[in-house]
Amino acid sequence: MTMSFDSSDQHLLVDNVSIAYGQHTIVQDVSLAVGVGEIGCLLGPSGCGKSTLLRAIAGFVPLQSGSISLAGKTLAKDDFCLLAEARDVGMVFQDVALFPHINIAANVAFGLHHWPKAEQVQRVEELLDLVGLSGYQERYPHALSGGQQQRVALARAMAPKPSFLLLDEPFSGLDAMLREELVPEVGAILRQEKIPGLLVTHDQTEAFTMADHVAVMNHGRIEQWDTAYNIYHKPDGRFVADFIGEGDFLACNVSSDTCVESPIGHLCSDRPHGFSAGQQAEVFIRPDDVLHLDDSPITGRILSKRFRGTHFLYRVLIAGNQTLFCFADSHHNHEIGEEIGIKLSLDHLMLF
Amino acid sequence: MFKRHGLSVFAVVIAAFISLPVIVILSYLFKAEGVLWQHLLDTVLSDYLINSLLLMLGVGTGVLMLGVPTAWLTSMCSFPGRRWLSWAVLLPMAMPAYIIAYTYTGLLDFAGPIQTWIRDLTGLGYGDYWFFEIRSLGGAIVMMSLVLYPYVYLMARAAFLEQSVSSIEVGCSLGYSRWRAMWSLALPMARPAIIAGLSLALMETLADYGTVQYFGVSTFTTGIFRTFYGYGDTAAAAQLAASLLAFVMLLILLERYSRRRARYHSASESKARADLIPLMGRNAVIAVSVCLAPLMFGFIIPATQLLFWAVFEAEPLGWEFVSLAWNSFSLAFVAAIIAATLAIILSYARRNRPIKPVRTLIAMAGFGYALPGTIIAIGVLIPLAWLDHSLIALFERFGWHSPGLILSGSLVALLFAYTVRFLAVALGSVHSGLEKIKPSLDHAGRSMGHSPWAIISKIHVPLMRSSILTAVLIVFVDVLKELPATLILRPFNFNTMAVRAYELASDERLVDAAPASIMIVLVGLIPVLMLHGSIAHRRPQ
Repeated sequence: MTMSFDSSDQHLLVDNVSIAYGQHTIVQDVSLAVGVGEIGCLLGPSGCGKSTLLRAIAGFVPLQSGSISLAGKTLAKDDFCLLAEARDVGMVFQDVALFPHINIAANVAFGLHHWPKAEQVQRVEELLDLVGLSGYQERYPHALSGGQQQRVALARAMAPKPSFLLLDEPFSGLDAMLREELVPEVGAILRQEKIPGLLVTHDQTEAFTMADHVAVMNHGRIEQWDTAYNIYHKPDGRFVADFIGEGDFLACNVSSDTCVESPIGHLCSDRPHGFSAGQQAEVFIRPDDVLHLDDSPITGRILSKRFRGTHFLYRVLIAGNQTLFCFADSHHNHEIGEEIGIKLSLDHLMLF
Repeated sequence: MFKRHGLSVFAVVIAAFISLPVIVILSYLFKAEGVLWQHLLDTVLSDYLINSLLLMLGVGTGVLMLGVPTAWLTSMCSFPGRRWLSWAVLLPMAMPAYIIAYTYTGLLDFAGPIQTWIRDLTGLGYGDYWFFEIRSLGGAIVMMSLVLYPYVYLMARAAFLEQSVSSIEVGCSLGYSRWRAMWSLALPMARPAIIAGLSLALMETLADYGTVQYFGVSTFTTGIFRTFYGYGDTAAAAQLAASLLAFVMLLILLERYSRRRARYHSASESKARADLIPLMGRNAVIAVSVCLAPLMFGFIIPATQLLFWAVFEAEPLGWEFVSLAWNSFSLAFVAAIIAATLAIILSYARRNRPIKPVRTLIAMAGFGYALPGTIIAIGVLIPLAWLDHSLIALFERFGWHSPGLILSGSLVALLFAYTVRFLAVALGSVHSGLEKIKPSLDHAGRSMGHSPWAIISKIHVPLMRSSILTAVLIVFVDVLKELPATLILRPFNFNTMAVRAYELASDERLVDAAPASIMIVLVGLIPVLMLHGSIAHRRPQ
């Protein structure tokens, strides 16, 4: 895919970048832009090249072609590669990478070596305050919990006031509870400090919580670069639809610009779906598009069920050979094998 | 880090140099010809072979019998004194085999205190009674078993400790008694580690020169010396060395194979062993005796005897001893610095470009630790002598004054041999230190605006300091103890403590050899004490 950006209000510009290790291409013709004060996200399955792209922006991996610039300054282009230490880009690592031989204050001050001593002390205090660890200056990394270590790593990366912050799966080593607490907190800190950033993750909840724009990557390419809402509701291609959230593809015949005939009946969209009458297509149905209604004329047999507290997620068999996910109210507890009524609540159709 | 390719090329050149002696000896493996070789083949070679095999068989049995029970008792059972015994049984490692050999000779000889006491007690005279002849193949087996069993002990103990408690618990849940679960599960699971320890001990057995020479047992190493000095035939000595090398290669393969299996056998998560088998009463006495016996005979008795000789009977120490000590310590120090420096360069090269050719060559450079000093000495001597003679020829062609044997006849040859032999030890320590510094630490430093050199000085140096010091110290001690390579390669009239102690002992001046010997043993204690508390998984020195 090709994209063009107006470079005037963009901060980080990645333009047509390809990266290869020997003969093996890892990232291919990738373009994206992160605006001032924005947080972007690279989301994709493992091995899709998202971490490699991040490391190229940091300056640890050379480019094969394309260019990367930050605030108008070229970081890398073809053969030119600005040294990592000269890029003014901070980074938070997946394995935390705190220096084990120096204390927390020295870790946070590590990037402040050009600053006067008094200002260093003040900045360290300021940042530890920001990440909720004031008073931890004299401790050593091994004496801190995993979540505390990651907060220190964030403080350390932000201390020199970098013009951009890279976050390489910083939450993947933490347990679910801690992650839920830390992810929105880190997003809030970055926005408060007005530091633009790029997060790499394979967890869509993290991506949706923190990022303004999300790039879904697959096999070294960006499949879609969009807001979280659009990624979910207007996926650009089967891969994105399938990778983000849950859902099913149903074969259907296109009957008009806005409607299709499917095994579960006549479905219509509030806007043109992009296919013309007579074509064969597949319609993508999300679990939240299928609701349970006891007196609905359409029925399905329950194959399995998952109780999720606020609701049930049923797997139902309809029209003999189609399976769909269906949301039901938490009180509608049905048995496996039971026939239940379902109702489709679609305002737009996702056809592929 | 550095210039990427420059460092790799440099490392490959170093590794090639270090591998040179082995390649030289290997080239003689297929040159089995010459009059002397035929003569050796007809006369003594079968003796060398049989004695070396018997020695390996005997020492192998000995170290297993001493090493496995002590490891099992100290890691699986609880009895009084278990804690201090579990490291005290390592002390015999500080005792070089040739030193314990002549100490026991002094104790057990006809004129020694034990036999004199027996005669005084019984009134018997010479030839009236039978007494164990220490200077024999059997004696050599006992001496070497007493100082080499810690290799088996260390490996076996590490394996026992690594086995997760749950595998024993699974055995119990399937109806095995705890003792039976231990015997039918714990011991087989530790077998690869035990075999790895055994092959290390056997490598040392094959490398030994001092003990077998002193006891008059003809093996490959004494044969190499005799051929080299007696017949002055370097080629035949190299052919003998090549035959010995073939043996060692088999042991290396066995060791590597066992180590690989040992990895598969050890549990992924090792928990602290919570439930030791408590031993009470008679069982506790037996356990303590089993651990105390090798410690007594392998360290306490010979060390006490040496100390007694050195303090009360030896000639007072004079300038000769000071110069011996100076020679030994300065030589060992320089060798240690060289080995550590090369180890740092090779480790960084492997870290920066972990490509196959670099890795393979560095692995080859690490072979030396398994090779007997005699093989390395001959392998160093042949190319250096060739270089020397080429230089002399070159000088003569231009009518200049001959430089003499500036390489093969100087300390250069000795330092080269030490580096080949002990680089692996330094490499192991430095590499494990460097491995702990994850690449993300470098990246974190650089993303905060530090140059590669600043990262080395601010992050690597402080984090690596202790592993580099360990490398220097271990090589230092090993060089101090080394005997056969020093005997062959030392410059004329240059003596070290190890060489002098050996020479005095060979001249039956056991008492006068004691001061240098006790010094070597005391310095040798340092790395053993360092092992205290941390049972190392790699080859302990």
